[in-house]
This record gives sequence, C-alpha cells and structure tokens, in this order.
Amino acid sequence: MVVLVITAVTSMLAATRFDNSPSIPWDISGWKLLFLIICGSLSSMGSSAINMYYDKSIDHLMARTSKRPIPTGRLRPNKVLIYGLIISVLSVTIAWFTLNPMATFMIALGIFFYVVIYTLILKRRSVWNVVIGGFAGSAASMAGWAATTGSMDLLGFLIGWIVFMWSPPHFWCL
Amino acid sequence: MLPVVHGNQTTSKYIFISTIILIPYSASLYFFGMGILYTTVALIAGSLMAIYHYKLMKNPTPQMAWKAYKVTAPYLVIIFISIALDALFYTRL
Repeated sequence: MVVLVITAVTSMLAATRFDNSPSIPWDISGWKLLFLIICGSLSSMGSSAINMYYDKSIDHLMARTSKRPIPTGRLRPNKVLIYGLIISVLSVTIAWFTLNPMATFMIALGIFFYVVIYTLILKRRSVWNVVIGGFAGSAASMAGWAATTGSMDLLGFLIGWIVFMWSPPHFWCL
Repeated sequence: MLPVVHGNQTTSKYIFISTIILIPYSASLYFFGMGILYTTVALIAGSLMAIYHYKLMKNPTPQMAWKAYKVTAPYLVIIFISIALDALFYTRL
C-alpha cells in the first residue's frame, strides 16, 4: 500500500510540469495531496480486505497468507467483506468530491482491476494473474497524474505502465 | 501461482527476462519527454535489479527469491521519486 501511495504522490508531483496552467514544478494544493493519499490508502485497504474475504478458504494453506486476520480467527469473514466494501466505496466517494472525475475514475478502475479482474477472475485460474492484475497498481500512479492534470495523456499512462511492467518480477519472487 | 505450476527454475527465468524488458521500457520514456535525471536513475536502478534477478536465475532458491523480492519494492520507490525529482530538475541533452 505504501509503495502504491508513493507512486500516486510522485506522479502527482511530476505531472505539474505538464499541466496546462503556467507550469511551476511541484506547485500543488496541499489539500489535494492529502486527499490523494487518503483515497489511495483507502482504495488499497478496501480492495485488499475484499481479496482476503474471497480467499478465506485458501489463505490458511500458505505460510505467508496464513497469518492474515481471517485464517487466524481475529476477524469474522463477513465483517472483513463489509469493511472492504465500505472502505472501497468511501475512497471513490471522497475522490469524487475532492479530486476530479479522471482521478476518481482511475481509483475506481484500480479497485475494479484488483477485486474483479485479479482476485475473482484470474488469481485461481491463470499464471498470468499478476501480469494482468498489475494494472491495478498502474491505476494508482495514473490517479496521481490525473489529480494534477484532470486528464490522462500518453506520458501519464506510460509512467503508470512502469508499475504494470514491474509487477511480474516483483510478485513472482514471492 | 507461477512457481507452483512451472517451478522455481522457470519462474526465475521469467523474472530475469521481465526485468530485462523493464529496463529499456523505463529508459524509453526519455523519448516521451522525461529528463536526464529520471533516465539515468532508471538505467542504474534497473541494472542493479537485473543483477539480483540474474543471481536468482543462477540460484533459484526461496532464500534468494526473498532477497530479490526485497530489491524490487525499493526499485519502484526510487524510480518514482526520480520521476518527481525530474520535474523539479528537468534537463535534457
């Protein structure tokens, strides 16, 4: 989560050079930065919680995931699901009112990719799960870029795509 | 899933190959408007990560994989910090 928030914040700062308004590097609203960090963190936490709910029957089988709250019995699965859904919806709602439509769309797209494309569809079926699911990470960077520019251009997309390209060598090491 | 289905040897090869693809991709952003600072960091950080992943390919053990994993997260942080700093100290050849 911390790494994804860092990609969002740094992309937000980088985009200031390409903003249409008089370009002053790193000239951003402190409030906007704060809300990007809040929305990025909430979306990451929410989608992780939904992922943990969906994997409640298999997480105890692997050492790394067996320490999660559901397999260890610290939290009931339904509570985790409700928490995940509320936090995810909250992140998109806050983004809508504090950032802009494109940044909100990117945050929602990141949640959708992680929960639906990666967790529900690919994770148990394809060895390409982390490759395609890596786009969920790209969306964080793109949300940061869009938070500054209000749109998504080629360079913002290509910078976000670095996270996609980085995901396989990162997650395959696990 | 990949290590379970195809084994550590094949996975470590895929890890190394994907890192080798990542390096020129990240550097190619120079041609889309990024500056010297970012491009230099991308080449150096990518090369350092490739060294770790080459070692993993030669010695595909869980211990080495954990070391390689711990290198990839800082790689992404360094790359994105350089992307932000590039805007502040923007220069091109």
